[in-house]
Amino acid sequence: MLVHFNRRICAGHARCHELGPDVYGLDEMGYCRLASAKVPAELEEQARAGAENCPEGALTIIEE
Amino acid sequence: MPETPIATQTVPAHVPAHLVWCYDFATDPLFEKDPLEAQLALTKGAPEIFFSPLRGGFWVLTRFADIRDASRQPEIFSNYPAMIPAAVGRSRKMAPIEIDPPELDRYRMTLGPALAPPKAKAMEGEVRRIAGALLEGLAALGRADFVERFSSKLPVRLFLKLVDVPESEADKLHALHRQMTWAPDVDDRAAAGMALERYYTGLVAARREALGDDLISGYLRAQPEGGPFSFEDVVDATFQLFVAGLDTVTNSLSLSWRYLAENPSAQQAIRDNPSIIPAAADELLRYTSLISSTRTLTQDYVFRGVQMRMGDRVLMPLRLANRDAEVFEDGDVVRFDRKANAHLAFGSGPHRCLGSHLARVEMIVALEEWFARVPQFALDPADPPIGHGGHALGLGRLPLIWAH
Repeated sequence: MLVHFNRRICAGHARCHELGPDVYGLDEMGYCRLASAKVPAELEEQARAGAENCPEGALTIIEE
Repeated sequence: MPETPIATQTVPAHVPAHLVWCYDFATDPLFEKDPLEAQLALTKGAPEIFFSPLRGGFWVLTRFADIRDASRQPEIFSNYPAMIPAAVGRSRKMAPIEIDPPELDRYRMTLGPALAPPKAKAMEGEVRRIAGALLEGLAALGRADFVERFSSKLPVRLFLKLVDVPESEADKLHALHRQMTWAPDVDDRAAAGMALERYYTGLVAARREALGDDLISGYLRAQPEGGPFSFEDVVDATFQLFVAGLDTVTNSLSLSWRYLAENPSAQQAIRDNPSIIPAAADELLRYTSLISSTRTLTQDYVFRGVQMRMGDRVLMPLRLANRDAEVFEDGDVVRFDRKANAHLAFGSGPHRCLGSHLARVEMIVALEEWFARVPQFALDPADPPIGHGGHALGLGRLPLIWAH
């Protein structure tokens, strides 16, 4: 699984980090910081929860 | 403050007749009984984008995608001025709510880190202490006006921590805040507003002499790109912090507790399994989304096939976005088990509410502390809630009763 992050439309809701803390980090402002687009199998649920709850639609899950 | 009379009906030539729909978001008498229901009833059957000729005339966006897209295009949908109709007689813009990017960035770069999720989480203990103190002895009373006793007080006390003002000031500021919003006489409201402005001017002046670790000191100390803030900027930003953080959290709590009072099964679900509280808090934030944001067209623009003109005002009731069937299944139903709940209770785009993380903490802690102390509660049948419309829907009174 891959996750695509559109930095341009992230507005700092930080729902991704709240629901998927091991996938989505935060910068100093509380905006999403994605260390890696590749999601390990054991974190797929977190990745989905974060993406589904992004109010800006800034996160897209790509199933490989 | 003089306002455009509500009866003033303005339909500009570029607005087609089939898009005209009278929506009085501020003073329709329906809001008194039930603000959330009133908003739905008054917009039911309206076109997805419509033009209300009241209060000088304004467009209303109702779809999730439209409200989000408009929020993300500040070069077309400006945040200035902030109200419908625009306030008159002000010499300065309200900052940062009326500031557009890129000037907005220096405010957000200053305030954002101070209110980011780790900072909000670090305040959880303080929120719990304040909530516990407010609820002390409450269960034994068997009844209370939730607004007076709890929802209007918790945010004030927390705010005082953020600006490092002693809690002994809470009652005075609370009274002035209520007077500014609620006094029947416009002169009394204006007097309270001026008293608060004097208070904040004095506060900022004193803080400038002895900087601390609070939000005001943060503004005074900041060296953002684009230059430091002027004294007036900091007074304005302090006032805005107060207005933004008090009414909104207060009303969100009040409207949520009203829903719970009217829905015993929702209360039971929380009692049966308190671990659902974070998800329940978010669902209640979605369901009670009380803000109607405003924008102003900076140019002639065709939006979703609708011709808008430079200077046109736009109202964006966030609750209507958050019930859009395109995004939310059973959007009018509260479901604590929603898997996806990507709502816009805190807005979208560059003006997304910076206090959102703290507001969530307040909502979660309020639920936890209340449910730990107070048994099943209901509306007082002899003393119904009193609601209001406006840019922030809310309740002025919420008398609750419970067994004791």
